[in-house]
Amino acid sequence: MTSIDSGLLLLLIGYGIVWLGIFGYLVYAVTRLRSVEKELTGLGGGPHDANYGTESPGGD
Amino acid sequence: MKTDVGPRSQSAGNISLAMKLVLALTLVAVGASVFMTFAYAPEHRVQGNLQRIFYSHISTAGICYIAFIIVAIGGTMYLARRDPKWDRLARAAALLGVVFTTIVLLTGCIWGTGVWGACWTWDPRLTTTLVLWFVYVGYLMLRGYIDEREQKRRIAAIVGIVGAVVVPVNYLSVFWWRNLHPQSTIIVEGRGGLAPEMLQTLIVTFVAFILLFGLLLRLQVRLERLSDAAADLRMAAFAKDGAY
Repeated sequence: MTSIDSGLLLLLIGYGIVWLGIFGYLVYAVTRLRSVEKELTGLGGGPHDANYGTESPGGD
Repeated sequence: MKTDVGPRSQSAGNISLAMKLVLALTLVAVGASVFMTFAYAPEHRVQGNLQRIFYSHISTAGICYIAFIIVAIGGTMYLARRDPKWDRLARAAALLGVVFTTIVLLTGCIWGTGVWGACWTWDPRLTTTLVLWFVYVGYLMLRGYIDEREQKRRIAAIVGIVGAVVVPVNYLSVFWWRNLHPQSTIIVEGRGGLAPEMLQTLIVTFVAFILLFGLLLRLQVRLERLSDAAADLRMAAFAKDGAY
């Protein structure tokens, strides 16, 4: 493999890491969002309600 | 007692026209960035094609700085106003900052492998970037260890503000301690500066990442907001059932 080929290969790996990181995060966020929305609906609050209940010590 | 999670402005399925425009603009900018990176920008005379990683690497590094400055601003505003929305903004920015810093470290490693022959050296810029990553991973972990919500937000705000000190140290490290990592070649006039096509590609890529970061931050803030709401309802349900 020539040096240009290895440079291109490394570039593609690097570029892959950039977009894998971003899309990986996006998949996590959307999956978690759906799960939290489902949980909210199950708890009776619904994701679109203005009032959700009481202040709690947790949160993260 | 009413929760600190306020009313929503819009539902998930109802995306505003402005949001659709931002989304379209982001897609166009990302597409333009990919095209310019691979087809428009000239190949570097010494580093060859590998140099093209530079556009994403620099842009994501810029996003890290923006994210961690937002963490500090969010923390400061929370301490000043005690409004949980600032804490949620800081928390969301910290998570995205960690994602982008991880990308910066990995793309830097790829570039270093091809150009320096080493993925990692204890160069001041690389070391301070790793410190930055640890500070914000620590920030996120710390939040998980504290149960009491107000205390958690207060301590996280202080850590976020103090942690932001690493941002200027990281930026200036290449000027303070000359080592392997290149200094800024963007604004150098004459020899050593970027070719116009390279500069244009860098600007377009940076704009694309800023737009993308804005959208992801908005998504994460919404997620944080709903997570707080779910925690509130969970606690209310426990209290009602006599579990507490």
